[in-house]
Amino acid sequence: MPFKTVITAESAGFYKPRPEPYRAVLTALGTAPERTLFVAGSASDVPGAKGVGMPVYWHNRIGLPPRD
Amino acid sequence: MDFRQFPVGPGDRVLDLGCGGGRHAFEVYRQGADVVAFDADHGELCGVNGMTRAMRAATEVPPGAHAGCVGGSGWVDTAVHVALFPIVVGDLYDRVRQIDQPYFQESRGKRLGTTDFASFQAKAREKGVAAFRAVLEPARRILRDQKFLAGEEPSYPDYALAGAFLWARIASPQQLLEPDDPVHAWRRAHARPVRWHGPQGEGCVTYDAVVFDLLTALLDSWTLWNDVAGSPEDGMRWRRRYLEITYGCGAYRPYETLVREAARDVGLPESLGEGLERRWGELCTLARSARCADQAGGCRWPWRPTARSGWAAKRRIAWACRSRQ
Repeated sequence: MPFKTVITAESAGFYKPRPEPYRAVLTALGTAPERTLFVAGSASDVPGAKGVGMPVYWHNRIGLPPRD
Repeated sequence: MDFRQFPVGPGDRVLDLGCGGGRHAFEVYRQGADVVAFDADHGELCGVNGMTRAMRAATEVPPGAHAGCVGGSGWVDTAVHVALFPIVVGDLYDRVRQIDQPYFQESRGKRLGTTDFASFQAKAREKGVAAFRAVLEPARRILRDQKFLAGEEPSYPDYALAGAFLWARIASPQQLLEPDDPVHAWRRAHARPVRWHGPQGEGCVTYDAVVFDLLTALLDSWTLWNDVAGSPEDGMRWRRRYLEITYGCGAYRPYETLVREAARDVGLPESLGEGLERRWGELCTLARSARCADQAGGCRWPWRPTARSGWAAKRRIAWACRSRQ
């Protein structure tokens, strides 16, 4: 299944959980944040993606603790 | 049926199981009941659906009455999947776990008369996918008139057919529908990538797009870091420090720089960064990683490129995505 777009920290100019990479994804997809599900792998993406209005599913396969 | 003996009207909900041509459904609908007509014969259902729409257009039914048509699973199981299977079987086999391949060969080979699934698929595709598209005609006829197979809202027939498309999509890049096909529009509009049971029990939610953190939610970079570090404990210390640095670094600094810094900060050799780069081709998906953790030799990213890509993050991830397609 092809990816519609790929955004990197390098292309966004910042690493997550700064809001810029999340916003860059939304701009590239042309979707509203509340209609775009973010699947996170690490704890920081939970507040990061939620911070720009995206619902988040944390795919915590390795059992990391939540970030304070 | 003598409906004087069985009076129905507005506010009643009637399920007509095995509706056939729809004569009972038409009558209770005319009386003002909400009716769901169910049958395994999609040809019949097309006729029932057309008639109930005509009745509504001709104001033969009281305002507020609702009629919907629901097909049984027989059509999807016995027609759609049967037509779909030959044109994706080779792709399916490629995605079967090694441990399951003998079973696949035995069971599917018996059905198809060959275990050369790639050749079988190629031959099936020579005829084009016209046969598969022809099988969808009952759905196409319904979808020319309404949003969902079940009526105004999706129900079982929509989910059953969407399931067939999702099954094919995760296994095969084969294009199944032409863009001007009503079924294509239905799939695009309503069989969205995710139907999600939300965390607060708000039921089924659909999304327009799904965004993955590639290296931690889709690919298993965790295991590779641990392997390069020499132990899960050291790998996690290194990774944790790397994340701390990225959280606070502000404007972008090269990935490889931060990887080296993180190793140094927790007392590990900076050369681990080069080790990570060298072994980047071993990345695999989380699902595959979990499956093959106990297999000799571990697992490798299954679509390894022929030439090494650069280490810059943009090129690295672009390579992963290109390979995944």
